[in-house]
Amino acid sequence: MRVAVIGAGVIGLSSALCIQEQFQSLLPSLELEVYADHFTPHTTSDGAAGLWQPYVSDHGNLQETLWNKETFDYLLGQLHSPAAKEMGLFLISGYNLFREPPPDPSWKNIVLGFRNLTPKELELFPGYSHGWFNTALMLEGRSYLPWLTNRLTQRGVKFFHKKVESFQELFSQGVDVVLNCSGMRSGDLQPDPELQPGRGQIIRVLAPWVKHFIVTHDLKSGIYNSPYVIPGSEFTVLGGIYQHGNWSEENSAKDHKSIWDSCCQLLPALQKAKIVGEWSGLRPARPSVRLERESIRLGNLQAEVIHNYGHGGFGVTIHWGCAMAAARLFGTILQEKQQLATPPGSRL
Amino acid sequence: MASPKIAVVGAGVIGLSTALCITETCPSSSVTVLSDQFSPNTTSDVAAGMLIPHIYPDTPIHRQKQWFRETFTYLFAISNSAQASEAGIHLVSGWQIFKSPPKEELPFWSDIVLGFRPMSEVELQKFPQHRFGQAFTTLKCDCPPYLLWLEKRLKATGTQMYTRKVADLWELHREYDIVVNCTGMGAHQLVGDKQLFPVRGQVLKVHAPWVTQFIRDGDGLTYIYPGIHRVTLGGTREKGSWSLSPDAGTTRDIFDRCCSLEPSLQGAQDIEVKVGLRPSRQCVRVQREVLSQGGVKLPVVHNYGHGAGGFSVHRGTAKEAAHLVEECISVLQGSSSRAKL
Repeated sequence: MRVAVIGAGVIGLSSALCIQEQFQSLLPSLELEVYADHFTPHTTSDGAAGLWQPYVSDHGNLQETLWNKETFDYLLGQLHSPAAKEMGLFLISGYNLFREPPPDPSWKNIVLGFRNLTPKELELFPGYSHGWFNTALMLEGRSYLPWLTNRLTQRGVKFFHKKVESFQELFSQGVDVVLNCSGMRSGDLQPDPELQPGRGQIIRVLAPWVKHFIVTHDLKSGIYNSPYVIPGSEFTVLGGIYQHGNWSEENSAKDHKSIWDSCCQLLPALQKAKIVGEWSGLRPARPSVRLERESIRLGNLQAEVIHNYGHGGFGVTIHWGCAMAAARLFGTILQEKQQLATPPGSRL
Repeated sequence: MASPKIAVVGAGVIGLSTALCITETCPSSSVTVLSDQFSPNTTSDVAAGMLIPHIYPDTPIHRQKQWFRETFTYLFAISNSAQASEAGIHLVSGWQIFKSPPKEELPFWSDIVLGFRPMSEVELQKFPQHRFGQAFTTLKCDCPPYLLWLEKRLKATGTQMYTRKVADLWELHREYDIVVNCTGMGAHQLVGDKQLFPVRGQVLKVHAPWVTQFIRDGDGLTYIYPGIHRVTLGGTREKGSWSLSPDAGTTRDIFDRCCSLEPSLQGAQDIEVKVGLRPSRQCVRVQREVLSQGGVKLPVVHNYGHGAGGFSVHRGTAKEAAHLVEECISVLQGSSSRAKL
């Protein structure tokens, strides 16, 4: 049973790991392969700051909220394991700021210690009238992706550095199931007008005195179009750009100035911070995550694709819940092909 | 007395902040700082500089609260300014945890720090051996940066600073009109204060940049305080011990205790061991005194004995000491104008 995962960002690698962990022992013939044109540190996931935080509004998408929760709970459980540091996983507290009263977020009971800001705390952020404080998690792509890669390699998963042009290409080579975790470029494999880039740009600085994340919100102009500051273990990420429909991965001087000015206004101490890098990336935005099976007829064969893409600006936040869901879909496929007597979840 | 000459003895956080307050309160005076040690070799440099007050049994609570509030307000403004990184002042959030119920549910400082509240059940799950906890956000003064920043502010006012061991306050009476004693543990010898005693503290300063939250056991013995570049792991409270040499067994013990609260510290690098003697006293001595010898008078203002709480109250006690210096100046000016009649 050959399974090919397309994409080696956080979604592709974690989906591969979930399937490997759950099915390898039950299905000795399982051969997992990962195909990607970009590997860490050149994936979209590597550019993300790595803060676990869903959007402030879930648009009523309860399924995504559950996947977010599953991810948070899973990561929280990993926090005290020896792997945590290598995974790039640690606790972090911080602030979400608003200029008008925000509705409670879907994740207020998922994170730790969620509360409204006190008037004295709001003094730190002139111009913002409301806000939240909570403790969440950081999962840095620069560490997490190599950690996932190592785990997969140790378990015999093979990696191929190539751009897959079509699902057919893999099926004609004898692959039985394809996991489509190709993020922004899923449209090249199968047109999807709902998948659009949400272009972001960030500046990396050295500001080790910043110990909290600060995410501001302008509820009218949409998510991540307002400054944010997210401290990591090696540098601090400054951002605040979300341009729907913009495919450019070039750094824009105008966006640089906008990020720099707005973040320095938010945290005056940043004026002294040394800039160590800049990056632009495309959030694979979609009205909802596409996580579903698709059966494709190829001659007299039925080929299976599991789609797992369109995670926008919350890929890290939702990844594990989606990986588990993808693994469940894979289990169903195995059952149908009568490869498995019983699915892994139920034990007789 | 056109320009009173004031000697501040001691260049830790107390000496430097007191000198600075004097330049602000008595701008016509000329201030000189004298110390046998400057940053990075003061007791203050060993401390983590966390704003979590230590309780002085014999100082009225309202006075301690006033000192803490003034210090917090002062540092809060710096942390929010462009100078924050140079001054080494930053906000840090975290938890104080208890194995048995704390003496007071609401410490006197709970309304001065930010967002003080009890920890939730889920948060306490991170600490299986502890049953109660408090979550809040406070400030941290990293040393050396904070002391260096104070030195820079002082130099800008024209304050001179000299390395000099003062063995007797009377050495200074010819050159200076008023002496301010901020010698910390040195006051034991310098002014013979037997109420002052060392409480030895050993700490580890480690590289662990993924630790963003502070954790403090309410017993005050185990703590993890993330600073700008290093995390301070502590500690010990050895009353009466004068030893400044690091103890290897203690290092191991501190590391183990901290790792049990924060397992990821196993991966900490570049462990540096430091020792400081907290200049401890039942109450902080902020007091005016006039020394007298052979008909000569020497006004002295004392500001020492801050024990484990120096950073938490430094600005408040510095301001109080500066006001006492102002009083000394008035007395001197009063008596010198009387002398002119």
